[in-house]
Amino acid sequence: MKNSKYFLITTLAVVMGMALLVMTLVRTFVPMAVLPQLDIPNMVLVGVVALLLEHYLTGGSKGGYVGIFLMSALAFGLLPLAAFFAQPLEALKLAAVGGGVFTVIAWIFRSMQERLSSGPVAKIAPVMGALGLYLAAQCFAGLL
Amino acid sequence: MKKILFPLLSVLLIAVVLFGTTWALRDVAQANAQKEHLHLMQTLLPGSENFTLEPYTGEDANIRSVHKGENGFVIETCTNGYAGEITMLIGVSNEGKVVGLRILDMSETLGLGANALTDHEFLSQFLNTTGDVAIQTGGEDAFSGATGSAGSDTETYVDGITGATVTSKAIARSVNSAVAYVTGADIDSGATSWGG
Repeated sequence: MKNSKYFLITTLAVVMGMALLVMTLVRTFVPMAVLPQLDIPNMVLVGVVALLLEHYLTGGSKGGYVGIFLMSALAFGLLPLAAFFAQPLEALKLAAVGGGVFTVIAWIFRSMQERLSSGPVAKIAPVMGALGLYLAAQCFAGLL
Repeated sequence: MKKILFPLLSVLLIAVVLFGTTWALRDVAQANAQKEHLHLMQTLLPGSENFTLEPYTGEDANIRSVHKGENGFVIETCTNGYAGEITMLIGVSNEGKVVGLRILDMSETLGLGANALTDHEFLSQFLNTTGDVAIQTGGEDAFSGATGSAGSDTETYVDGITGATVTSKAIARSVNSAVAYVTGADIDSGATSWGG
């Protein structure tokens, strides 16, 4: 299973699930806390953590972008809906945007990964690349 | 097909766990939210113990709800910041003086606008103001809290957050709207409903 190109979706679901579980607990016990919203920068943050997990657990994978789009759209739509962080219509929007955003960053991250796959720098390069992607997403969201 | 089955099942399983957890905690969450909300309003408007929700029929789109206390109002506002809406609770005394404010929700840029959440130096500048607050940035008069009254004699200037002028102005707009509700001022002209 670890070599499957869709293992990435499992890591995405786990990361998102953990984040939403923590948010649910915070919402329950500290209701006045300001919770992060599911906007593009935070979607990218969840996505790059999932990509890093996949990279360090399996060494990464290639291709399967149609499947990644569909499955990540399901994760971005269904999980916030299940945790009552989104209404059905909002969940549809999250699914479309989340699926698109995640597919694009998966493609960019993997392209970077291939180019930094040798030498001692290879161990830390994915983390730096992920950080760069997150910062770029913040700038992009600001432009929007 | 098998390759897709495991990830699909993992998404569904996690969705079920989230749904179950949220469902199981719903009563606790609701009770805690009501308790915290009341406690927060009592903090924002010292001297008031009980609050009643007043219907708002005015035209100021920044005002979401109005809670009347014994010695003033706690007003929930919502204004557009840099990256989304900023929701705030603002305590205003019957004399029209801001006595407390807190940001409830925002999605501003981390390290810039989001600093407003914890920048007590910035937020405390609004305390004891009586509306018509304008943001001053970089030593110059930036445009006011967008109440359309920049340059008026009664303006109070506060220092904006560095690199977050839009966020600062949104907060100033919220404060101006809340005070205007209590004083009866017209947020477009600064005039009061009794002709002041």
